[in-house]
Amino acid sequence: MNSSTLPTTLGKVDPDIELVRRAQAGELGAFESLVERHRDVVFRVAARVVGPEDAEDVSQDAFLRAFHRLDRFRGEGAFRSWLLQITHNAALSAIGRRRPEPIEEPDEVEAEGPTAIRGPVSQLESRERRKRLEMKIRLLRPEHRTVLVLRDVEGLSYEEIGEVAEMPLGSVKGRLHRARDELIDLLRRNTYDWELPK
Amino acid sequence: MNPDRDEASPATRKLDDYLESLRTDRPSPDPALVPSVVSKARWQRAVRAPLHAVGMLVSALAGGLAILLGSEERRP
Repeated sequence: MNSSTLPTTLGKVDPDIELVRRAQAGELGAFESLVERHRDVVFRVAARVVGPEDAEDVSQDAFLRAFHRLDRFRGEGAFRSWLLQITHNAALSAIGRRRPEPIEEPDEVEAEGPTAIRGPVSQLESRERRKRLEMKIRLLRPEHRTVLVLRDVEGLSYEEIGEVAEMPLGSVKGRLHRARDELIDLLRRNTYDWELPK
Repeated sequence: MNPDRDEASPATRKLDDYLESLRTDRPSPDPALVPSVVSKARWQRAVRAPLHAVGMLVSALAGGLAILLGSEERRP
């Protein structure tokens, strides 16, 4: 690949590209470096989309799929987007294999009044809220889930999400809007989930 | 913070506040993930070419057999 056509960020060559080139040439160490560099984001996206129990399997699957398709990566976009596209597809496959989804709505929890005693309990409560929020995200339709996770949790640009989910910019924005509305609706079903502690 | 926040409705801003807890909590994979992926990649690469060759051979044999059986059936 001609280095003058490689993707750059503010004039700097994307370090992934050199690693991809070496991995394409058969250097397993370069592939290992790519896995090291992207394991966290791949795992996080997998965990938010399929749940923590299956996140490791989906991450492994995504990296191995990427490994066998490395020769198809042309460097037209960022390697991370390409890898997350594979992760997204691996996550959707995992969800498809286990239909109907075994996720149930979290149990109803009584909302605490403003006078509730806070303190050491609040840490536990935050953790519980976070867990419930993660479960509610997993109740979203898979196509909504990924877009919401990529934008509102991982902070990807609309353009990058378009590459990952293979859809035009307008569809990304529309889907994100619907995903947020769906999640708000799910959270509003329980006062505990929707009312932030004072 | 979500870059869309300024143009968001109050409900969406509230949702963004909730999602902040996920942005700060960043789960990471088991350290064994990388060696496990690399070892599987190495193993799969090693068996891929022979398996592909066997697959091609079986496919060619099946094709040849189908032609033979077809010509036998057509024989009066």
